[in-house]
Amino acid sequence: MAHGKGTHGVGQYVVVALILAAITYVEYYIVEFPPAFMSSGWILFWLIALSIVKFWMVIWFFMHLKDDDKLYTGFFSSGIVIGMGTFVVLVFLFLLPRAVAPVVGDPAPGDGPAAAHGALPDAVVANIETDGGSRPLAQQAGNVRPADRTLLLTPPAAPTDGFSVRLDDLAPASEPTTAEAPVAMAPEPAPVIATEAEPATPVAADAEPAPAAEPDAAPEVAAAPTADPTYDRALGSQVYVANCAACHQVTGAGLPGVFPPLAGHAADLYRAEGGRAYLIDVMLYGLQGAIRVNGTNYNGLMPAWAHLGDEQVAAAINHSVAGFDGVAAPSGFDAIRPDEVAARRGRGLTGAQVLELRGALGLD
Amino acid sequence: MSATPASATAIPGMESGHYRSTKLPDIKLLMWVFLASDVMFFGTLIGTYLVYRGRSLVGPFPENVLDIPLTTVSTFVLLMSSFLMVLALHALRGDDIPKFRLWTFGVAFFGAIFLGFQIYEFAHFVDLGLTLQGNLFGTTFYVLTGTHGVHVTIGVIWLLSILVHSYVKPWSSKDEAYLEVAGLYWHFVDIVWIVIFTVVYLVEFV
Repeated sequence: MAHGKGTHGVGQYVVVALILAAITYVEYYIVEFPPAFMSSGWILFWLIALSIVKFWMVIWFFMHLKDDDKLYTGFFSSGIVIGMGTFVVLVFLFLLPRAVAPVVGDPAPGDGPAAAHGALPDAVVANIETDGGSRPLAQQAGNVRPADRTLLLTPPAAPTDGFSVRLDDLAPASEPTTAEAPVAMAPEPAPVIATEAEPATPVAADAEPAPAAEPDAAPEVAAAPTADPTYDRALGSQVYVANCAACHQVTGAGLPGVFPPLAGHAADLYRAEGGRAYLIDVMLYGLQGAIRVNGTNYNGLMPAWAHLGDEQVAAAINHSVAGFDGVAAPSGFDAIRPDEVAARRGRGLTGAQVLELRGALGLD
Repeated sequence: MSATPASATAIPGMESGHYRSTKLPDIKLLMWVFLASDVMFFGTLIGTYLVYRGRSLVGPFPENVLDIPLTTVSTFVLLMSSFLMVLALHALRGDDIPKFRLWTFGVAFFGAIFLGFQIYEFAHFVDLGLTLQGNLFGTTFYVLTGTHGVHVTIGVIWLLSILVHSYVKPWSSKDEAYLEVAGLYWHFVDIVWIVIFTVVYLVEFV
C-alpha cells in the first residue's frame, strides 16, 4: 500500500470522513433541536460556516487540491469567483428594487397560514395532515409566510392624473406629509380613494407610507352610499401591472390556451347575474379547473390574491372590467368598492368551488 | 521541449502522451475546467432558487414538504460515497485491484441509494401537490435538485462503466488518472449537494 504521496494515507481519509459525518449531524441537530442559547441568526451563521468547512474539506482532502498542482486550484477558484459573482449580481438585480420601494399589501385579518393552506385542494391538505414527516402540523402552522413584498410599479400616469396634484387639491394640510414621503416611486393611493368620504382624515392622521393598504380603512370609505361609476384608475393600473399582467398581459389579452383574456371578458362577467360577487371571489380565492372563454379552452390555476388589500383587489377588478384601452366600460358601470371585497373575505373557498360559482353564472 | 524518460514517468497519465507544457494530464485539467464551469451553472440555479424563495403564492410551501431527517440520511450516504471514492483511488494506486473494484462498486451503490432517496422524495412531494408548474418553489426546487440528480445519475453510470471495464481490460495503477477524473466529478457532485442541503433544506427551518 506504500504510495509516494504519504499524506494521502487512508487514516487521513477516515478522519476527514468522520469529521464530515459529525458536521452533518451537528447541522441536523441544531436545526431540528435549536439550542436555547442560539438565536436563529447564529444558527444560520453556523450552518453556513459548517457548510463552507465541509465544502473545503472535500475539495482539499478528497479532491487532493491540498497536494496537487496549483493550476487546478486556480481554475476551480476562478470558477467559484465567477459563479459567486453571478450569484451576487442576480440576487441584487432581483432583490434591490424591492428593497428600494417596498409597498406592502397587508394580509387581511384572518389571512394567516390557515388561509394560505386554504388555497390548497382539500386532498392536499389532508395529505399534509397525515404526513409522517418530522414536523408536527401544529409546528408547520406556526411558520408564518413571509410578507408579500410586491413591487408596485410607478403607473404610466396620465398628465392630469398625477397624485401630487390631487393631494394638493384635496388636503393642503397634508403638504408636509407628501414632502416627508421619500419613496416617491410608490405613490400613496389613500387620499384619492377617500375623495368622496373624508378627504383629509386619512392623510392628516397618518404619515405612514402606505395607509391605503390597510383593510381597516375600507369601512370608512364604505360610508359613501352613492353608486360611484368612477374609480382610481391609476391605482387600478398600478395593481394590475404589478400583479396580474405577468399572466393576463398588460393589454388584458391573455395568452390563448394558457391564460384567459380579461379585456372584454371581465366586463362580460361583470354583466352576468352574480358576476360582481364572482369577480371578487376569483380574486380572493383563486380559480382552478377547466373553463371556456370566447371559444378557447383553458385548464389552469389562478392563485388567490387575498393577501392584497381590499382597495387593491377592488382596483384590480375595476381595471380589468373598465380599464383596458379600447374596451368600453359596461354601461352603468358601478365600480367595485373595497367594502364589498372586505365583505366577501374569510369564506375559505377553494379554487374548485369558485369554478362551480363560475358555472352558476351561466356564461359559456 | 524534449520529453526525457525521467519526466515522463513522473507524471501520471503521461504514458499515453496526452500532456502539454503544463506537464499535467489533459483529462484532469479538462475535468477541473469543466467543474469550474459547472460551479457557475449551479451558482445560477442556486441563485435563482434564493431569489424566488418565499415568493410562492400558493402552496405547498417548503416547510410543508421538506423532511430534514430523511434528507440528512441521504446527505450522509452521499458523503460516505465520497469517502469510498478516495478509498477506491487509493487502492488502485496501490494496485490492489479487488479493493479498487469493491470500493468503486460501493460508490456507485451509495450513489444509487441517494438517487433512490431522491426519487422517493420527488414522488412524495408530487403526492403533496408540489409540481414543477404549481408554484415558484416547485419550479426552482425541482430544477435545482433535479439537475443535481442528473449529475449523480451520470456519475453512477460512469463508475459502473469503469467497474465493467476493469473486467474487460484489467486496470492497474497506470490507469489511475482515469479513475481520479471520475472521482473529481463525484466529489464535486457531493459538494454541490452540501450547498443544496444547507441552502434549500436546513435554512428553511431556522
